[in-house]
Amino acid sequence: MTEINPFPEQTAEGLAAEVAEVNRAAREDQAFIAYLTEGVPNSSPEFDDTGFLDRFKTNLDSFFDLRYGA
Amino acid sequence: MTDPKTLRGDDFFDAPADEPIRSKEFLEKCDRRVEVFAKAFEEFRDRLYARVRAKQGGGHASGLHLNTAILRYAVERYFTDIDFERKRHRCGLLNGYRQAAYTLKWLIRLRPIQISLRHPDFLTANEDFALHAAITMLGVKPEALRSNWAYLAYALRHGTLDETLLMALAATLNPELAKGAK
Repeated sequence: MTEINPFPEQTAEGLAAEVAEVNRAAREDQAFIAYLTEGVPNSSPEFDDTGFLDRFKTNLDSFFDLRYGA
Repeated sequence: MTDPKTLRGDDFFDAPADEPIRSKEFLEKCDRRVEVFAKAFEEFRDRLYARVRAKQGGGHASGLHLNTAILRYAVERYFTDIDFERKRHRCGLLNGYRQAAYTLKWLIRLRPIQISLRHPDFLTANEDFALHAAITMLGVKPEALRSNWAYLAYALRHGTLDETLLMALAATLNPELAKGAK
């Protein structure tokens, strides 16, 4: 029985390059997922209540300008 | 090796087995945050009323109320999420953009501002308040939202409130906070 090659143009080098490309893309995906989910450094300061209120009040007018028009 | 039958959910995140979920510290930090948001709401409401009065040429403006019970529940859910994330990442503090994302999530999901008057400027009060609180936490100016405000408010109101997407949004608004993330 004759074996049918579904990819007659595919050479061994081409196949290897394709596999390498798939592996590279998978590594990039993993790095991106890791960026979103893990390894985040703990560089933020504690939430500052007073600072928050002051900044909230200071920027409120420009927020409303943006929202409802000046 | 620990017997799997005796494992609790928290054991996977190195939580002390005897730590109560609603400890005294937990309740105190909730109280403080509720107080801060209540003060912020008063300012938000008064300035919005002033705008409405100016627009209609004087008169009276009313119709926005803060339901402190709902706000309290939103803050408790926020800290529950934040504490869980801390355990999950085994860290003491979470980055600001994560805090902003969870603030957005719970303020918009539970909607502590109740609207008793059908005024067009009041309809998105919850989204406005939550967005402004989030960008304040992020330390960015409102101008960072530019003309995308309407699109953002629509997405937050009608879209899926996915934490990861909200974190990505917050990190995009202030890339400095996400700097150094692996």
